[in-house]
Amino acid sequence: MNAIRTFRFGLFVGVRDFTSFWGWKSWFGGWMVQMIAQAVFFSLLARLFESPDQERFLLIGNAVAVGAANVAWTIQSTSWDRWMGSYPLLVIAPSSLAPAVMGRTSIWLPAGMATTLLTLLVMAAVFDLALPWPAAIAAVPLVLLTLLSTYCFSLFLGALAIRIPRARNFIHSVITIGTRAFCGVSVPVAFWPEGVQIAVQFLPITHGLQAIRLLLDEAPASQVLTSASLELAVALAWITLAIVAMDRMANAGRADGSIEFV
Amino acid sequence: MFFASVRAQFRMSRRDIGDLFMAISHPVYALIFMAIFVHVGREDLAPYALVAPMLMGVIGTAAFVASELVMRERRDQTLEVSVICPAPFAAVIFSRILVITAISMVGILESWVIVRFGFGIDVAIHHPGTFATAILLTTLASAGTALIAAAFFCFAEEVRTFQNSITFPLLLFSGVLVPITAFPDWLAPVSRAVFLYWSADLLRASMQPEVPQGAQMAMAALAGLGIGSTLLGAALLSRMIGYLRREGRLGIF
Repeated sequence: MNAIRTFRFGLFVGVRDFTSFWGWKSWFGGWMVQMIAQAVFFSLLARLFESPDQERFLLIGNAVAVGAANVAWTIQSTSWDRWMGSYPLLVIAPSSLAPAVMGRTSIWLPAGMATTLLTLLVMAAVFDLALPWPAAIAAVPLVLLTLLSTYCFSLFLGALAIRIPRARNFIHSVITIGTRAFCGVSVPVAFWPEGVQIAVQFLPITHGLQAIRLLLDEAPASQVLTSASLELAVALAWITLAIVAMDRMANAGRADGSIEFV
Repeated sequence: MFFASVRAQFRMSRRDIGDLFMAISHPVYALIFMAIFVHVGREDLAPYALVAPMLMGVIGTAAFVASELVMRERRDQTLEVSVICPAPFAAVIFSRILVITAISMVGILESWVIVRFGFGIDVAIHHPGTFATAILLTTLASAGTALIAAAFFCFAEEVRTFQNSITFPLLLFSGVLVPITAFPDWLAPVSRAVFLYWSADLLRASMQPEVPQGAQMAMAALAGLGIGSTLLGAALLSRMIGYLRREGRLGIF
């Protein structure tokens, strides 16, 4: 019960984080314009070699990638408490650090969700991205699942970034560029050397995006569900690691007296 | 004055590489673009994979410094002191922006290394003269554009929310990666008014064996946009500082 209460108050702070960046006008007119332009920029390069198939592949992949990059802000926001001086208070509170941090950072999940869905809709309208209605509705829970596992992974990385807060932007960049390259966003996973192919099986997006692609290409439901289950397994593994790592990092910081220093 | 500003900025950037973060991180996108080109068997498009990520870093850095440099002065309460100095403020800021945009040009080297060692594709610069001129003029144009943006960012805190909203629409419509033929015809003049269009064109042409067609025209356009944006930026910034002084808001925002 306590953990839920802590989570709720954390979320309250998260909502304030979000509104300190954006209001309605700036979210639609600034953020979404940039995100859609970015997804289109990365996708329309297929016009250089006039391949409609490749264009469709890139449009779907990048629509998911822009939302995932937004969810990955979790990495940065995990360490914002360190700058505000509230981090030592969270660490000495009797409750675990995890629900407080998860509350504050989980705001980026609905934010990323809205980003991806809106980008997909705009692309469907502007670039004639064929979507199989009404089956395409099922893409909504699949996008949620994919971004949820991105959130779990980001939370784990955020827990690491608590110890090295200066590296937070660097970690975010490596992850967003890395997933775009290797997790089936820009080219099929099979393009890369075998070692990379094995590694990305354990990363978010790989299976979830595959499930979304299968759904939108009207593959049998069993295939979609297999990929979705794998994504769920990845999500559960990372959230477990994240929760374990969170308190360990806090305790390590307490042991060497670094929690008050950035 | 110029060298003093340059030296000061160089020292500041060396201590905090956050200024150069985008210039360093964006060229890595060469990996993604090149992967796509190799995947579809179009290795000949490699110049696109070199030039586009570099220009992404250049424009990202320009937008970032435009918003940060003056804002930092205001936050640290050093803007008042800088403004009452006899040296023109716009010139000092321009020199400092120039340092950072010049360093962001290194992005092309980073992209080249990725394409060379990641994919074993050796892109040769067939026309080093064109290449060097393009880099020089791009530095000027990007600094000039940043100066205009800096003037607007002075105006109100809310404007800075849009700091990161303009880069991708610019990159998209200026033909840095996506051919502008993909867009409606009426956008073509808009694309040509953005320096990135000419930079991308010149840089890619310098990597083709054929003698670049219309290079002189592109250089003239790039130089014109560079000088024009610098003069306009300086005028706007001076007006903006004058406005902030009259309102007594130099250090209050």
